[in-house]
Amino acid sequence: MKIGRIRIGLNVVVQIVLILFLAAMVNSLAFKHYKRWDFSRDQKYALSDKTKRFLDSLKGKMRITVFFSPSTPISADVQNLLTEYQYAGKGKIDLEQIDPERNLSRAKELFDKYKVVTDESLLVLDYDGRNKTVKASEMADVDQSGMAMGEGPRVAAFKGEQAITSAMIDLGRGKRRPWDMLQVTRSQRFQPPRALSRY
Amino acid sequence: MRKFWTLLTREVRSYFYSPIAYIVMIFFLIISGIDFYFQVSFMNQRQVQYTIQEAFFNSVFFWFAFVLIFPLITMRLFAEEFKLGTIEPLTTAPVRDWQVVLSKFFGALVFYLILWIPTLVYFWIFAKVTNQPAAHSPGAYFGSYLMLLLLGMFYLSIGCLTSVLTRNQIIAAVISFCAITLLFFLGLVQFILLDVTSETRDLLGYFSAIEHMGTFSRGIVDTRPIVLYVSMTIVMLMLTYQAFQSRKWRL
Repeated sequence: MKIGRIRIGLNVVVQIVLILFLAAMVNSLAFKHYKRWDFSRDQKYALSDKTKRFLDSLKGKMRITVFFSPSTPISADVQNLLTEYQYAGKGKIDLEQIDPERNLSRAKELFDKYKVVTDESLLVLDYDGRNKTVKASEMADVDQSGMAMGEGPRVAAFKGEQAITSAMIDLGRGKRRPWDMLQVTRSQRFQPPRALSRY
Repeated sequence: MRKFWTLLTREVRSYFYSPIAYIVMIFFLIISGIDFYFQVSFMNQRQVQYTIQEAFFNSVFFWFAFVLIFPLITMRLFAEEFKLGTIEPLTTAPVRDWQVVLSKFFGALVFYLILWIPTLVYFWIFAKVTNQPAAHSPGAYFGSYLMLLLLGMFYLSIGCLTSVLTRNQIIAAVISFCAITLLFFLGLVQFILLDVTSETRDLLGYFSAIEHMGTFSRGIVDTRPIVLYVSMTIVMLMLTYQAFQSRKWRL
């Protein structure tokens, strides 16, 4: 009777361990291989094909340091947009969030490293030893006409993707050597249409 | 399957025969109503970049009510039957243990979904009164309610497990509340820690209910939280099944 109970107990333990192992494996796979669909009508944070292509073509890791205080009107938009960059970058985008009002020591350390001298919220993009800053004012058109009426600033247009991708492309371009252009040209030589090349 | 449906109907009905269902409903409607009122008032005062639907599903009031309702819904599932002795006729009836566990889980899920139906009316009223859409797109509603379903499944399964472990409803409620709150706060760690690597932040974000709701309520559907919550629900239900069965072989 006792042996039977121990046997059942062992069986249950094995089942539990197996199901936990299976769940861990499934989640580990899901963490690495995933899909995202944007069902929002305006697709506010959906990245353009150009940005996706550029992120695909990135050779190394790009580090983005975000110096945004939460009071900046576009803080949430920038955060959401950068999350999309991270997903599309498939591990090539390394993101660090720093609230310059809370984490003073880290902010100062990086401000010194990147030689940043501004109080404005900004991003620093670091790629292959070179860096570029994108300020909050470059990422949005802010309507301040309501300020006189006591209203806060209103974001008229958010152009975060445009500003970030062009800064990324600038950084990526800096790496090109003159002979890289020749290689591009060679690869773009006239190719007969696929239907004709069969004959 | 017919036995399962019979058990499921019995479970759903039993919710409405007990006062706890009405207490939970009233509590939930009051908190969600206050949440909605505050969000509308806040949006009246200042210009914001998000919609009322996003604000409603990501506010402190929402999470407060959300975390609290699960212990209240699930505490009676098994614990009450153990205490009243009504579990004996159920286990001796020609039904399988998994049918009992699943019927209790889905019964709680049906009640949980009924709780959320009135919130759709809030958005409809908002759109009618203000002539403004309550959400950016139907996709945002879809995302929010899908995440509610996924989180609800997972947290209800935790409640099922804690309820099967004890005969005392209060103990079951306290254990499930602690477990759910702990899991909820695990997702907050990434917002509290200052110096963490991008990989650690990603890993913590994988378990963050707040981040998942934030993403889904914008209309972005990601496969990772779906896999996480569905798989964890299955694990919890498996554990519930084993704990329920253990009463037989431990005797």
